[in-house]
Formats: sequence, structure tokens, C-alpha cells
Amino acid sequence: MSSFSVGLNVSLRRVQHPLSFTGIVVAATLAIVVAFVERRLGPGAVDRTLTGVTFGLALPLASLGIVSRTCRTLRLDHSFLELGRHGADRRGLAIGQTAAAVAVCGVIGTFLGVVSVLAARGVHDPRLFGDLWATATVGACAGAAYACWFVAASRVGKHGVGRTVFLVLDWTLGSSASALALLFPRGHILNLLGASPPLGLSPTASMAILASLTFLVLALAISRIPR
Amino acid sequence: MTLTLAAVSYGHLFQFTLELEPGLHVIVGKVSDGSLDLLQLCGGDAPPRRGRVLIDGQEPHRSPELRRKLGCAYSGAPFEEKLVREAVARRLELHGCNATPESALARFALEPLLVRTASTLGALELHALELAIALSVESPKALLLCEPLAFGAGFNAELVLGAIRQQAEQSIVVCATASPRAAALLGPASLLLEDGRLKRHVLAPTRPAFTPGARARIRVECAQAELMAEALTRHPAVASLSWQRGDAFLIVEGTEVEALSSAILSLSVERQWWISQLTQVLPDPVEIRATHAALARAAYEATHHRLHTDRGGLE
Repeated sequence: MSSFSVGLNVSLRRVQHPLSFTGIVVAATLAIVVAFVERRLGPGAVDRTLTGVTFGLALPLASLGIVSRTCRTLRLDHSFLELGRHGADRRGLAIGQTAAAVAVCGVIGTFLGVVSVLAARGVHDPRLFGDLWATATVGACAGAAYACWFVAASRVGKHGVGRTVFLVLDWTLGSSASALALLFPRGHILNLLGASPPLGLSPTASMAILASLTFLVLALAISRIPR
Repeated sequence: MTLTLAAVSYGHLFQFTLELEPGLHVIVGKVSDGSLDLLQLCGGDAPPRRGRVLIDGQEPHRSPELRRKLGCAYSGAPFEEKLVREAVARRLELHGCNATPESALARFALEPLLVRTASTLGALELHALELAIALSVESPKALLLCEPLAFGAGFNAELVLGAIRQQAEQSIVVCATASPRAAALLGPASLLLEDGRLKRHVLAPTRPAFTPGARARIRVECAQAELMAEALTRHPAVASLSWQRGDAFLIVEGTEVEALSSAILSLSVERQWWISQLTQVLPDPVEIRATHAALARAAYEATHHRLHTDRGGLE
């Protein structure tokens, strides 16, 4: 059994916790309620819901919860200490853990996006299916990106406090129109959803920057874990 | 094959240097003295802040291949798997063991634990399982065991001791314990760890060896305790003795453990008094620490006094 599969397997088991499911249900309920309220307020309900509560609040918080569970609220390099002691490669375990977090957060992003669009548009809207596909794609990418960033941030601090610090920075700096927004996933995700882009970047450029930055940060964090 | 710690600083350990060859090495010290830090460093849990740790020329925190050949029983971390069987099988597989969970645990009569769910295991049962997994590693380079004789009832100490001694013939076995009594049971020699430093190498685990200046102390349990107390008071090997009316045991003190034991046993044979228990009374870690502090203080005072006298003579 490879270290990757052990990491993946154990992380998926860690996620199977009542608190994780409660968190996802609460996030989805919040997104649906806000979508219904926005729908009553008038046109543009989908955009406001997705850029506001769904991908601005619910998804980052849900991803933080999932990554914290896969790390057992510890630092990334301490989360698999016991298995590493038995000869598993800790980098392999961390990659397996990241894969599990990416898969789960990607599914959550898709799910939250889909329920938000359904609630904000209603089932009889002719543009529903086009919006559903676009939102599901962005949701999956956003979930995966947040998972990677939170895993990388888990390398910082005594109990992986870097995760929470990163979330606060993402909220405060990621939504600004300055160059600093380029360094956080929030600005790029909002751009993919059609909100004001950071430094006037095109969605394709935003996607490319988000993917490369995510890969770079994750590779750096994992390469610094002792084998 | 050697285990080398060269000027290592980590946790409670400071500038710690040690070199161990294959064999059984008992380290007496509490967690606050750095015993757990020592095992964690050797097990590759983390790199040292300073210095180097090498086992057979490899650094354990950098080499998963080396860690596969180490048996560790010091974490006490609960298993994350649902069933104990699943957890044991995964760990044996990571170590590359051919043994099945059943055969590995059968050696120590622990198979009943296999059907349990991991969340129902108590701390002692978990420790017993860790020990069983560590002792099942095939041709290990080192075994790192914390309190190897501390486990619940139903776990056979003789089996564990036998397995540890068998592994010590070819591998480096490091056993850390806070109990001098466990140290005495484990091996004939032990290293005293105090405040992150190795203080002494004790060749025989006796009271005078652990606490220099103290007398050897033996507890004798005997039906004829009163008569034995009376007879022992006249024996030259006995320096003092304590016995209370009604008690079935007495505490005998003398300068040498061997002479005391021999006196008690010869008396028992001669007078046909049945001894039900004969045990050494060993000092606890607090007493050991206090004695060493007093010795260090005395050495300092003596040096200081000598310097003072020398300076006075020069003037």
C-alpha cells in the first residue's frame, strides 16, 4: 500500500464526521436562503448570491472545515505523525491528504454553486442549464483551489493556525481591486464569476494565475515536509 | 550498526551525545527529563534543533525506508481506523511484515483485541498493541520502547521481556522508563537521564548504584517475620532493620545487596522459614534526582573550598 493511498484513505475517513456533514448542510441552507431573498429583491440574484454568500463565505468556511478535519486540527506535517513513524513517506501522505481535500472541497463547491443557482433562478428559467454548468465548473475549481491553499497554509503555526490567518487575508485582501488580490484565490474566483477583475485581468488569465499560484504554493509546502 | 546522537538539542535534551551499539539499553528518566524526546528523535518524528541523529548512517526523519525498520512504541496516539484489526494490518503492512495481525498478536495473547473497534481501546490496551506491533517488525534496526513493562492485566510480562531480549541480540533496543524497578527487570545496566543530560551509567540496578551513599534495602515477606527480624539483627551484613509488630514483612538495610540477600536466604534455609517475597526497594526518580543534586552541590562546594584555600595560600 503506497503512502499516497494511505493518506487519501485516512483523510477521507477523517472527513466522515457528523460535524463535516452539519457544516455542509448549514452552508447550503445559508446559500439557499440568501438566494431566495436575493430573488425577491430583483434581477441579478444569481450573481449577488454566488459572489456574495456562496463563494465568498460558505465555500471558504466549508473548505476550511474540511481541511482542518483532514489535518485533525494540527499542522500539516504533524497530522500524519503516527503513520510516518511506521515507515510511510510523509510527503506521500500529504499528497494523498491534499487529493482527498481537493476532491471533497471540489464536490462541495459544485454542490453549493448548483443549489444557489437553482434557488436564485428557479427551475423554469430558460438560462438555468447554462448557468448550472458554468457555476458547477467554477465551483469545482474554487473548491479545489481553496483546499490546496488551506493545506499549504496548514504548514504555518503551531496547530496549523495559518489556515485561519489565510482565510482572513483572503477575505480582506482577496476582494480588493489592488495587485495584492492577485495573490489570493478570492479575486480570481470572483473574476471567473463575472465580478470586477483584479487589475482588469481576463477570466482565462485569472484561471491560469490561480492554477499556477496554487500549484506553486502547494508544491512549496509539501516539499518542506520531512520525508 | 550504531545509533548516534551527536550534540543534539531537542525538547528537553540539550547538547545530548550518545552512541549505542546493538543490545538492550535501558534509560531511566521521566518525560520531563527528555526520555520521550529521545525516543521521538530516534523514531524520526522531527528533526533535532541542533546536532544529528543517525541510525546505521541514516537520519530517521529523512528516511521512510529506515523508519520501516524501526519498531516504535511511545506515541499512545489512538488508531484512526474503525477496527483494531484494520489498524494493526495497515501498520504491519507499512513495516513490510509478512505476519498477519492474528499471528503478530497471538505471540502476546492479544488476539481478543482484534475484533474490537479502535475507539473502545483504553490507553494501556493501546500501548500493549503498539508494543506488539513494534516487536513484530522483522529484523529491526532499532526498537524504541517507552515504558515497555507498563500494560494492563492479561498481558504477559515474561513474553514481552523474552521478545525484547531476543530482539536485543541483533538490534539496538532502547527502553525508556521512569521506574527504576522496571529498569532492574529489563536489564542489568541502565543510563540515568536527568534534565536532558545523561548523568550516570549504572552497572547494577541497586539502590547504592542509583543513589550513591545510600544503603541497599531489601523487603522480605515471611510468615516468621518476627523471628527473622530477631535473627537478622545479629548478622554482620545487616546495618539496620525495620519491622512492626503484626507485619508479615520487614525491611532490611545493609551496604551490599548480595551480602544482604545471602544472609536472608541462608537464614531461611537454615531455619526452614518460608520466604514468600524478596525484593529490592529501589529509590524513586525524585530521590535519585535529590541525591544527584546533593552530590553536585558537594562537588561544587569542595572545588570552591579548594580554590579558596589555594588562593589564601598564595597570598
